Amino acid sequence: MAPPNSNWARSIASALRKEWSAEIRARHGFFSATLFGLLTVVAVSLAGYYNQPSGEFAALLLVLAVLFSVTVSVPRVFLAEDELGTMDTLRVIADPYAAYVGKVLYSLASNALQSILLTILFIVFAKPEISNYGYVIAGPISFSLAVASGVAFCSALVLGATNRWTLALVVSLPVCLPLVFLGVAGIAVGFGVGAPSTGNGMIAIQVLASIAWLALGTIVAGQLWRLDRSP
Amino acid sequence: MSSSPSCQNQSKADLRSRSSLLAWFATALTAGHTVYAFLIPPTVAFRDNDLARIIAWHLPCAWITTILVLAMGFFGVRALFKPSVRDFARLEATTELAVLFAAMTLLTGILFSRVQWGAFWQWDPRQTSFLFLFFLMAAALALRAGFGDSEKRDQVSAAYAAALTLPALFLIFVFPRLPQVQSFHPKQAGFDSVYWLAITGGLVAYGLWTQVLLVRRIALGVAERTPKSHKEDENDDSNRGNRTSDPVVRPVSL
Repeated sequence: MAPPNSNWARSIASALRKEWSAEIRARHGFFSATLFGLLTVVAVSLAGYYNQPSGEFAALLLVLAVLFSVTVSVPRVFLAEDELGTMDTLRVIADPYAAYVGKVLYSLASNALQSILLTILFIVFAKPEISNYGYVIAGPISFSLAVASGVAFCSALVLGATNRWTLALVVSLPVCLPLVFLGVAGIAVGFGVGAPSTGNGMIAIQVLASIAWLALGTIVAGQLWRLDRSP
Repeated sequence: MSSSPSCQNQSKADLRSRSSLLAWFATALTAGHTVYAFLIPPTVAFRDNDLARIIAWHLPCAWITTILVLAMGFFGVRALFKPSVRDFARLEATTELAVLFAAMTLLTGILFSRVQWGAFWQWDPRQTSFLFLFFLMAAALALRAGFGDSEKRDQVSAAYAAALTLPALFLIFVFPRLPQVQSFHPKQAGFDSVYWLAITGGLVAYGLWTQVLLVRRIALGVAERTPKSHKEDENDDSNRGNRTSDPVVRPVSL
């Protein structure tokens, strides 16, 4: 569906600024999500307490840490606003498509940063053998982008539901599960498992998946958020 | 186009009798298919050739699931962009049946895996992709259950079903066929014509059951979504002549 007006880019920028302002005003949400990610990294790193994890196993642990961190932090961007009761106001004053894109872009940016932080912590705690730092950094970032855009779409759906936090996780995880394979294969190259061409391919597919979820989510969630709908 | 209540009742009665006839036909066909599938000689090239006949149930269920998933996506898109009570009911019916057939596919697949490959679960790419597909559709049911308001529930379900198409197509058609994916499932099934008849018979029999259940579930779904007062008027089969001249037909308790 075509964007409803020509000021679309400006509307998205406004929505993005609004998210950033809200985050700066109440930082506890971001810190709680980051702390959860840190705890996940420590918990999964315990798997390498006695032995250094193998390349594939280390990649899986890192993917799981990023996955749980993203599935907890992204719904917050949508559901916290729903709980405060400001979501309906946003839908009235802003273009729903732009509001959705703004929220997703903010989620992508914050989760990309968070994934870099988690990767550094994982390297410190789990001490895996690294053969290529490029894939170890780019792999988690691309995985977090792909997962975050899928989780954002699912979070946009559960607004107004009962048990929405749990429901967001339940609906998001099946969407993210196929991405775990791609994430592990991409990051494992950095830990010395697989050819660089495989790593490049996996990272490219994840970035494409992120773009596809963003486009699909904008069309579908934007349509859903429009107020003038009735059967 | 509008029709009189008596005409509507007549068409509903016709639909009900046709559906019953189809159900009887499906029952007979299912019984025939079951007997045939147990009577055909064991195939070759399997670890347990006798129990390879599970395929006669497993493949039809998998194909019907695929069709239902595609139908979910289609009705999801239609209901999202052109909301109608009938499409919402169709989406609900296809979702429920897709979960049912996906569960049957997984169950028969797990049994097949045990007798042919030695373990109930092998992490075979097709097994895994179908498990993920099952989770995607089960999440659709969980999403429906999360909303008390039926209108909101229908809209959200339509949005989810529309978006589900992308990962579903990837899981069904792309992922198991990736060159680097090694599967126990053969690329080309080498069954003889007797086996193919059993598989096709299963597809027709369970396809008919799907049709019967879909028709009934959609009718129920439409009835659930129709406002109660309107429904009572439609179901009122006592012939009271011209309604416009005699609108008050029953006492109202206050």
